[in-house]
Amino acid sequence: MRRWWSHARGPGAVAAALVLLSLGFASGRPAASGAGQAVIQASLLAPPRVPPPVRRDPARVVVSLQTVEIRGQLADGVEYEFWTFGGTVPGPFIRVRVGDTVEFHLKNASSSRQIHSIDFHAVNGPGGGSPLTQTRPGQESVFQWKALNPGLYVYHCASPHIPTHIANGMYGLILVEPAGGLPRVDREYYVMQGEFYTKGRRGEKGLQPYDSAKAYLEQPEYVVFNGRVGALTDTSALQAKVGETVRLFVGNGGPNLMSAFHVIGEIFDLVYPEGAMGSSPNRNVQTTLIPPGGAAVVEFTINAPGTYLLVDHSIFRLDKGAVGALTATGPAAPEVYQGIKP
Amino acid sequence: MTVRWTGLTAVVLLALVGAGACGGRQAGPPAQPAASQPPPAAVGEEGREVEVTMHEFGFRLSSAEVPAGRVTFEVRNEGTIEHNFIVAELGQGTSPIPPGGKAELTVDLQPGTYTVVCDIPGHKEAGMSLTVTVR
Repeated sequence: MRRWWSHARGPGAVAAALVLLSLGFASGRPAASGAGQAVIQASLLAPPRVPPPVRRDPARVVVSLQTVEIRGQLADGVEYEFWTFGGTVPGPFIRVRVGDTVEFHLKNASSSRQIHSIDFHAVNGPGGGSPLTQTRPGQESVFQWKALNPGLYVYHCASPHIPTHIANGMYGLILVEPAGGLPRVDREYYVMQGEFYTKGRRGEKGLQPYDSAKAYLEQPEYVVFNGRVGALTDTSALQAKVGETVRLFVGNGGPNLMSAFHVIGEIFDLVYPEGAMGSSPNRNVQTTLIPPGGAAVVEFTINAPGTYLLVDHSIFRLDKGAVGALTATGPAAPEVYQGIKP
Repeated sequence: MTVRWTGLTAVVLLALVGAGACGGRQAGPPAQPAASQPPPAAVGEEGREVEVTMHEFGFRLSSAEVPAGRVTFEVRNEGTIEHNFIVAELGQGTSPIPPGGKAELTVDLQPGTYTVVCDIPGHKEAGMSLTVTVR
């Protein structure tokens, strides 16, 4: 995994580099406000990747997402019909800064069976954009909003029946950076918890339909990070080196369960609880509570090599899939951590 | 199927106007108060016929009450996405019907109440669930 500053070599950063100095003319029509601002096509990256930090003046940022319903793997041998933003659960990470005007385009794939929309928790306006973006299959909606409050925010679909759309995977995170940006760190990752309600019991193979009754009972068969069991384990584990500082942007799509987010073997040096920026961060935190429709920013420095497990410390959920891994390489640090022969 | 423009269809359409009180729970035009008892469902070759229209997110039936016996639901999707029409207690229903499409469902009903739903995920919860009284 690359350090954040080397993301500039990634394909998503190519789009970010497309700073269109057409001054107020995005998608062939004049901007309703912010004339004179640069127009930027947002770089969107699938989890667990995070677009590079925003180090620029406020701009008009064009964000384009497509809603698509796809069959994918929920666990080994278990398939599910996911409803998604951009084909992944969670949807792409969006990164803007306070003062930006976001021109948001929502396309609903022609293959969709459902109407979809978006409610950005980062928006100041009724419905967070959802009344303006109810989009039929094959159609597109556009609206703009101004990023007034810095913070880490959830976005989700808000088309009837909203809980069903969220339960099927329609959520993601948007970071509104404060002026001047966040402090530099070595690594940034995007992790989002969500639970799935399948007709079949946990582990039952084959295509598993959504089970509304279990969702009302709040009894999921699966609780996962990044959309499926094992999305962040084995060869997909997050990577870091001893001595590096890691920042995790952690969201909870729910739809029902609180997350007691914890990294086994680490202490969060810093947490922005509830994704709140502008407040003083909490320091030296073991477990942070992340509600459905909420998020947190956690940072920690790796002191010793090895594997660190990301979990929801409502710990039986580990068996339902709520576990990821971060693999740290580098020199041992016996002064910090070592075994002793009895 | 195609609509059979018979005198019976006209009766059904009259019933549709007179029995608006059986509209969907969440959407659709406001129900018209019935001036008198709703007319009975029309009788056709396949038993009683009841017209059903579907939209986001609800059902409208041409008859407030459905007679017991063999009943054919003539289902039309007036919405913008696909829907289906399922009689929950019987586990019988139509395939998904595209916007603007039609389908028929013939079932044998006993006196009592039945729940009809669209069982595409989220649609029942969004309002596509209706209790039908059979006499």
